[in-house]
Amino acid sequence: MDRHRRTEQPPSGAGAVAVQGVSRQPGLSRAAGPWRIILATVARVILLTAVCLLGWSAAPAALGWAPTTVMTGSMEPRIHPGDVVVARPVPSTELAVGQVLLVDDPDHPGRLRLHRFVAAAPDGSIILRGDANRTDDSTHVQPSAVHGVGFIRVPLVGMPVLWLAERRMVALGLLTGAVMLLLAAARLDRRPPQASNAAYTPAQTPGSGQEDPGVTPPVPATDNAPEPISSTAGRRRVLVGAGAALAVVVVSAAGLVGVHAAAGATFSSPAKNPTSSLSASTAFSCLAPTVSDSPYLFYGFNEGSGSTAPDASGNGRTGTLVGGTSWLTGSCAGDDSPALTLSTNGYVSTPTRVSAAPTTMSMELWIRTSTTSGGVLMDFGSSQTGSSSATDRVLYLTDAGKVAFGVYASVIGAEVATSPKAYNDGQWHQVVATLSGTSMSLYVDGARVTQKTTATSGRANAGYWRVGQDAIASSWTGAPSSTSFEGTVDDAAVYTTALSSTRVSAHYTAGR
Amino acid sequence: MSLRTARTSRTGRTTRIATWGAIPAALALSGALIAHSSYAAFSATTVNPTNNWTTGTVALSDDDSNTAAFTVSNLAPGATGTKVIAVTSNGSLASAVKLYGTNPATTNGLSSYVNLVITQGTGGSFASGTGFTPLATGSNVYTGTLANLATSATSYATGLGTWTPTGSAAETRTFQIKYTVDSATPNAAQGGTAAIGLTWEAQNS
Repeated sequence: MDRHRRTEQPPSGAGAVAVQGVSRQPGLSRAAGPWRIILATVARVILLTAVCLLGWSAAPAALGWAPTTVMTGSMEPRIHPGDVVVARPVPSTELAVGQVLLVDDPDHPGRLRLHRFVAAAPDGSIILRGDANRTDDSTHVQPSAVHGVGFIRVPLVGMPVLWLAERRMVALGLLTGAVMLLLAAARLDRRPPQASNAAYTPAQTPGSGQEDPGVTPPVPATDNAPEPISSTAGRRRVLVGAGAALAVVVVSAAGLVGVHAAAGATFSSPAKNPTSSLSASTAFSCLAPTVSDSPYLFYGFNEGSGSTAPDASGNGRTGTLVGGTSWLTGSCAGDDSPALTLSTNGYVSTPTRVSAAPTTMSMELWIRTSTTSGGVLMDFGSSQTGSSSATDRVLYLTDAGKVAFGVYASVIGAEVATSPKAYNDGQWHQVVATLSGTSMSLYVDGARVTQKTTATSGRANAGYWRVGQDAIASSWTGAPSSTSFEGTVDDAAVYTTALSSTRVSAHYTAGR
Repeated sequence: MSLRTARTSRTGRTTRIATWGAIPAALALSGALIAHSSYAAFSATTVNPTNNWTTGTVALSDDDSNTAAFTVSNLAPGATGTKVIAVTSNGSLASAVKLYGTNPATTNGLSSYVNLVITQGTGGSFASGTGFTPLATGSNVYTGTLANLATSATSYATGLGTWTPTGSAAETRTFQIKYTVDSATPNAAQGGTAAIGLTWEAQNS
């Protein structure tokens, strides 16, 4: 106790008190006092413990385990920033809920994440969560992204790495100072070397060298029986030991910085807006066809699905799709109305048998085709389906792509009005045929292209209106090679009146 | 002299013991420390996360009171709607906020015909979009179809946005979401539905 007090008396007590105390008290430096032994031992234990901790954190890398410096606090209170966590690779089958996993950060490519396995998602992926987070990680990770399971936690040794990353130079400086102090303290119980010009390892006890000459112990080394070594050997041993210790520290620190990846155990916080839902009306009103002039039936072909063609006239004469038909989708934008495409032997039949074909009538539809084999566009046939034995009032396309309208007049027989131009150009065209009692007219795209007054009405057969296919007499002018029209049709309508040219033009302007 | 020699000798022995004894002591100490630390960290215990143990954190909230931005039916081509949502960061760490879609669903392909424009700015709230002002620069967060959002922005990593709260003070940013049902929506999408949740997530940067 007495000695202890005296050691603290040196007037130049600033700085490393203990070190200077040693140097300035010749009597005490000769033989290490108990307090020095205790102090030195404590210092050595602390330093060696630090070295061991570094070893614990670095050595597993040799086994392929992954040491990681924890950079953020999202796993608190269990794992703190500055800890080093060593993750042991395990087969994915050994992963279990509750384990702390080191994974590739799914949200930040190139980063690692250290979070707890809280649940397995139904798809086999892993749901993680930072202990300090209020919610699970939003992005799940695949088992293949797991580097390992947290196995060893070495507290605090990653602090220098953390400080370096955060540019906390003051903390780093203080740590360096503390390590130097500990190194100096660890040598307190060493007696100074015998040679008068020998100094303590300068780096470890700075400032002590200049005072060594005055404190050279008179005690010969041989007096110290357990240590019968020469001062040179002792010095060498001291140097080697110090060097080795330094090497361990440097290697471990380098290992920490180099081998250890930093795990950005991520804090996350979501602000979620619940699922919004938008639902479209079952029938876009903008797609509804403009129906005027009281048609007998009107097929808008806007349904896009199903095997029937609802009647937009309000008369309920729902058509039936027969044979090769397919819906063409469309929209309200521009000239993009949905339509019906007819392929081989595809047509639309109507449900109502008409006992006598009307004297005045109009057939109207839009067509788009490139066919060169013509076909029946609309007609009044004796049969509901298949090929009628008798057809009259037939609107058809010739092989040349011209539009033709034929009736079987009572006196003169078959009369056909044919357009001068062809329309099988892949574009939409409005086609209208009227029978007024005074003339038969053919309109294309809102304008009359031909008219005949030689035939004013057809036969009053019983039968059905048809769209797209029926028999046609080969004797008719330009009778097509195919009775089936291959192309796309839209807005097919039958009127029991003869539409005026003004109305036909209005229909064309309104579009399909 | 003999007394001093004996004492020195004894002290030397003590010193030696102390010297070499430090090694097993350090080994034992470090081993115990690690064993304890590891057990505490990796024992599969449930941790109550509500305690704020952390020196810093990120916290994000919005003003929607858990109400979906849109619940609209009977939409026709050309239909449109707007909603503003205010998102606030109260965290103490610098973070980056990303927006992404969750649980997308669609029938009849409607989501391909719902156009979204998401704009960031200030002013306005979930209750009233009045006062929303887009940022002077970089206000556009997303322009495209709902279907594209649903496939392109699905997680934090693929999330949208450039907002990086500093963490030094609370920050609020408002997002205006505008949908338009394309005028060219095909009849095939009639009766269709489109759904998506929007999540803003902050992660420390």
